[in-house]
Amino acid sequence: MEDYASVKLRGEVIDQGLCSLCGGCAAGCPYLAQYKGGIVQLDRCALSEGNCYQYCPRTYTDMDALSRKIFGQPFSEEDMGVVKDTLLARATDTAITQKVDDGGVVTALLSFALAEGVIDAAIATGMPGDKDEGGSLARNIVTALSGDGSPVGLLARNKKELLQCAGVDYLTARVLPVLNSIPKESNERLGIVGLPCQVASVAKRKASPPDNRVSIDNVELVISLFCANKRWLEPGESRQGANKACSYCWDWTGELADVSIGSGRAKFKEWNTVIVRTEAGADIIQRARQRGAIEVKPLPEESLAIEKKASLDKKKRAVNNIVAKSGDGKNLLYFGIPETLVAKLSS
Amino acid sequence: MAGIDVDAPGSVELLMGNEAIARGALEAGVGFAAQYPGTPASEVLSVLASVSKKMNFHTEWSANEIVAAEAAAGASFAGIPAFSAMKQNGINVISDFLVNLGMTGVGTGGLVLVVGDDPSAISSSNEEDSRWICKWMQVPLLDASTAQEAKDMTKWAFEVSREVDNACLVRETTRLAHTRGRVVLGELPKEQKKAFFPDVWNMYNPTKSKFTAGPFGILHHNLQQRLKKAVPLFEASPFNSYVGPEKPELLIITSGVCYLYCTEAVELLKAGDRVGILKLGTGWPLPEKLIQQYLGRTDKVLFVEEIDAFTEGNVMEFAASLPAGTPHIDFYGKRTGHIAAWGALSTDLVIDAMNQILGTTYRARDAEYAKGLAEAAKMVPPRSINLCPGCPHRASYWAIKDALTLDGRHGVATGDIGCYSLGFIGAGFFQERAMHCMGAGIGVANGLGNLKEFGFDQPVLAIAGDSTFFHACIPALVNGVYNRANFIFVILDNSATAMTGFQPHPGVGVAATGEEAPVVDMEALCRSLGAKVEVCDPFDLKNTTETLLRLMAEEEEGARVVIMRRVCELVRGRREKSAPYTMRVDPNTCVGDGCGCNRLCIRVFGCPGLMWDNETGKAKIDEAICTGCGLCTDICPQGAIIKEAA
Repeated sequence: MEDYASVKLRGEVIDQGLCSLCGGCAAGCPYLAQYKGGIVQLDRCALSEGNCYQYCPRTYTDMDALSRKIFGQPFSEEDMGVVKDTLLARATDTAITQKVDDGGVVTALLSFALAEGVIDAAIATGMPGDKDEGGSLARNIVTALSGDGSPVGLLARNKKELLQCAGVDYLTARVLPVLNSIPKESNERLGIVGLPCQVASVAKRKASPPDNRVSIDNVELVISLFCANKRWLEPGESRQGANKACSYCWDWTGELADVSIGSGRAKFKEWNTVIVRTEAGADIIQRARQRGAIEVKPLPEESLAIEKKASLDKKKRAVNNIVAKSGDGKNLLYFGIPETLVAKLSS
Repeated sequence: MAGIDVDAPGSVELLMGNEAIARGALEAGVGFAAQYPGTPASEVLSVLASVSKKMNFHTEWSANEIVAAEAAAGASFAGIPAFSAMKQNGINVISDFLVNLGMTGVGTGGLVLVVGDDPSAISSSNEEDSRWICKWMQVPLLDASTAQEAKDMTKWAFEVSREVDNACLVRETTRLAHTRGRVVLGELPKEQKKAFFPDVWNMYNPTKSKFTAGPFGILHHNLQQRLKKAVPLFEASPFNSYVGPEKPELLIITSGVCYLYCTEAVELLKAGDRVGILKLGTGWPLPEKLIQQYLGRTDKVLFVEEIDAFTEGNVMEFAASLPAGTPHIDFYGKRTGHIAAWGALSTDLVIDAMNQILGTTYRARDAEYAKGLAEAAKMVPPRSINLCPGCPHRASYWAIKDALTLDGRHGVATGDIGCYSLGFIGAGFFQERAMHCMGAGIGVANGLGNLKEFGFDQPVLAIAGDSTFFHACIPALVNGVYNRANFIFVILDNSATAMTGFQPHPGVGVAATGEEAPVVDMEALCRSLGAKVEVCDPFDLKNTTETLLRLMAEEEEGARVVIMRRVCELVRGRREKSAPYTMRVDPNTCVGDGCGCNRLCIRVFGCPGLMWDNETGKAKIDEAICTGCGLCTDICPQGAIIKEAA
């Protein structure tokens, strides 16, 4: 009993207050459900090894090994992780820009990738009822029951469907269940947009692909949103109180994505800050720019400095909070980074 | 059931114990039979109802046992031979009436109560021994051993009842109730009495009717005097018998089916010249003279009876009053541990006791047998107690489980008595967390639902079936509304008393005789009490779960009702003769043992219509028993179970 993966997950993550509600565990599992600000175990699973534990961004993760799988290089000790390029960008399509508060680059990139055939479908976040989610009733019962009007993950196959997702807050986005609901035999190439914790779960899947699921190699493009913690609470929203678990999160920009996208802050309100991390990311930005789907301009030094500081501050806060929890300066619970970096971040 | 109304005295029929009892009632000229179903006694009224129209007497499935007993007593007051059978729990339900009935008497009709006790609680929540009520309430008791006796005793019980002017109780046990035996038929009466409620003035009761329980002092004394009238009848009764030597080394005192175990045990031990068997067919009051006669012939007595040490205690109590100088007797039985103090007995258990007392070493089976049995047992696939394939309760419990778990406040489901009692094991996903007698689920919920002063914030669901609703839940629902108890009363309405054999109840529109009957609308009834009522189809898992979640989240206090309505699959199957869907598992989509499934369908959901193919490591439909209800399609996480309209 003690060795069941779901029991370990509960003991090491959920009961420890580390769960960021990324939905990675519940995504492919009929026993676990993401429901109203919590992960609920509906039935007992008897597996000692399970995706729930393996792909949780808050179970122990050797960041160096993960980075080598994703980027082919050791875990970057830079403030914002692996960075190929930084820039400001915005969508050119008014159908997109009128629906969003910022530059609309996420929608523009996915829309472009769909149009160009880089991907066949995009997993993004929309409002429930926009479009049926995939998957069997079994999963949808709980999903539908969430009934709190918060956004859900949707599978968009064209620009029209994608536009339904534009401008939607990633409050309680259940993007990972959508990934897992795609039939195993599907050859559709996929793009995914998620928050840093969700992107981390995708990265852990990429590093060690799951059985019984659609091939993770089908995922061609992973876009991370900067996590503003905003998703955790506004009055009247479904959750009560900010998710304290986010104070143990090290990742503000989504360092395990192909491209990370955030707002242009007050100074560049109608623009997005874009961090390009991989070849795939660079390629799609380059092509979207060439074909006029987005327009870009350099990210000024002072803006870059702000983002770097924000990233570093988040890492420091996380490390200090984790150490305070573990009670051991060398025990970072889930966050497996070299001791030298621990020393640097906790200083 | 064929032959139950054969009017051919002396002819032989092979009758089940329950059928024999029904025949006995017919031979006694029963005019009114009322019963609430309960295993092992359920068939008694089914049999009577099958001939009641033709033979022109009244039968009914009553809403519960006390109504049945009271209705029967009413008929007896008016001079009509009346009858009610029940399982052991029924005795508790009627006890308040019975204690008062003893005060007034039953009038000229005669009232026979049959109780089916259930040693080892094969179909019960307890193995109560009903015989105690006879001593407690001073009711004569007959204890039947065979089908023939069951018939003859039932017939005679009417005479005993009229003689003592009180109910007479005939006890059977599960083994007898459900075993067929040879029965020589007696005559069926040709005449029918006219019913009339008499005016009676007598010295015990200065009112116009004898049927008012007071003044109790005189009436209690009167009851004791009336019971004494049974003693000479019992002393002379052929239902008491002795077989064995003049002076047995060991005297076995037994009753009921245990008599047969004892006879067989003596035969196997070839101890017929050492052991005598005194069978007491009349259990209470004791035929003391008869007993004294046999006690005087031995110095060792073994009591063999199911379930409690009833006769053992009574005889020892009597033995204590034997005159000074009476030789000492060693008494063996449940008190000494020679006979199991609980559970059904068997010939082997009797032999064990006799071996200990007599020093014999007989073993029915050698040691190898036990090994062989263990080997053979391994070849039998394990079967867990389960709900039927297609059972709507499985869907209801699935929704209850999901709703309580998602709600996350450790909600409590209190259960009740019926097929859905299986909710406390895997068949109902371990949801039921309290289960006692009929109606107790909602009763207990009334307590749990009024603990907010103590910080209690767990949602409370009280679960009961439709027949149980009519039987015992209505006062508790009234109480819940009146006292603002915070619970949700879930009625699992499968439109049948399924557990005991699909007897109709007030909600289904059919009478015991099969004729059309008015329908009592439970939904309207609950609403009229002021309870909010929602109705859902448990096969709509989403809506059912959602309804429960919504009601649990409501601020509103007080008793609320959710009727989960879908007809029992066995009833539907018989009616429609075809399955709604053809089911199959798509082996390419089924994940099997892997993560993301872990055999959810057979390991957790557990419908017997699903099985596991060890060769492919995939789920499979057991076409022999799948009823094609289609529910598993909605619980398969992969969508691998396909339903196609049949």
